[in-house]
Amino acid sequence: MLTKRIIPCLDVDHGRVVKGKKFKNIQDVADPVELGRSYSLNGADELVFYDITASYEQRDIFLNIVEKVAEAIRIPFTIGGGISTPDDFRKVLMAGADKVSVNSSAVKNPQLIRDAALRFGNQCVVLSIDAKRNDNASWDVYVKGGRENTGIDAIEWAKKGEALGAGEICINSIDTDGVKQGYDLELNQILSEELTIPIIASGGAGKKEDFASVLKVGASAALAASVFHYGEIPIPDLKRFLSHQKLPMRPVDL
Amino acid sequence: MSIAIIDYDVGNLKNVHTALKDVQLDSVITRDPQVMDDASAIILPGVGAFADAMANLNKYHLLEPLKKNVKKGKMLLGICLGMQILFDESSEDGQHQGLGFIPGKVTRFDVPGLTVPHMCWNNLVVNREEPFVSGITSEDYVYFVHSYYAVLDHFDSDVVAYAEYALKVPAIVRKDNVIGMQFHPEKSAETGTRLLRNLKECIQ
Repeated sequence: MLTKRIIPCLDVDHGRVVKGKKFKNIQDVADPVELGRSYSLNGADELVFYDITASYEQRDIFLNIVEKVAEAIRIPFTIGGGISTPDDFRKVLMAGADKVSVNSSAVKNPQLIRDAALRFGNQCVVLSIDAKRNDNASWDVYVKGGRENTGIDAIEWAKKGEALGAGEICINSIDTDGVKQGYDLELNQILSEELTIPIIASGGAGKKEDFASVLKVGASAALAASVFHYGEIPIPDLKRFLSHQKLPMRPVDL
Repeated sequence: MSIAIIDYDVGNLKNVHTALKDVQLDSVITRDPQVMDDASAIILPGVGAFADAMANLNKYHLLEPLKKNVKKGKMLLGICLGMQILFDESSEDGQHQGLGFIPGKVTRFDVPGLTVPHMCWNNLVVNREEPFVSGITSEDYVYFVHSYYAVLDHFDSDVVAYAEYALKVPAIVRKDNVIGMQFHPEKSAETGTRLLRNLKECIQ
């Protein structure tokens, strides 16, 4: 039986995990290695790690942390942030990542998705999309950490990403990110219906019911950061709750 | 007791090395035939394409050392792509010959509407009880990432455990001293660790 996945996400800046609201007011939280290890032991189905500085000179520090986290965890590991060439893919994969997430760089150069999928396999390529609702009842793709509107339709972009070879779509809703009022259900439902690859919902988790709602409208996985990092929702409790809601979960042995 | 993890340019091998440490198994990442001869068991990891994997084994002169050690009765474990090359052949991007240790062939998932790759946590169903799956029940989930699967000539005898994904996907296969795992034990949390511990006991 296929399970729905629960994915903690770690934003890393200068070697520390941080969390912001609507991409701003970033606060320091914890050591990524310790946090990663704890999630791996406590039922997380996957770990996502975004390098939010991603400046050139910080790259080696980040790769070093990726290696340490990979050594500490026994679950799949996705890396994003500052990935713009197939060679960048190779570097993080060799440091221990299983999948690589691309965002702004793929908008700028969609061929990156195809090149990376051919070289490393579709399963390796996660297309991450920052989407914001517009006035025409659709969603625009934003880049540069949510600061710049590209005017591209988010659903069309997701479909194109699938056609180019992305193995998964991670859809981060800027409207709901960090405000803990639930995921963007409509967006996740449309994407889940129109694409065949898995959809990872991101942005907005505040309570257990929010996870249930988005997984019920079709998302394959739900990603969250602060509710996990601050211990507001322990993953074992969340998975028990979701199992009771008849959502298939990998059980946690605790 | 030391395990030889074969380095033939098929992705990161460190994760396998690290996971073996969890069950106190020493391992070396190598392509030296002498180290393979001296090892207690050999692991063939692998992520990528079938044809490349076979070409690399050939390029690094690893085919003969592998065949010789298997013939001597040494345990060989193939993981993911490393399992697929244990079979006779694959139809991934053309027809390619495999190592032929387990009778069967590797083919792409071809089910309308099925998401490929099969990339998820899926539970194991034991097909044949044996020490390698001691303590494993259908409550145990492991992590799969693959677009091709093995079709065995002798499903009943050579498939130790399978997962349901539109069809019975061979997850653990075994013929004598050759074992394959389609999933990634090194990414399968406590169930993966349990299987590696079972492996250790099978070696001893």
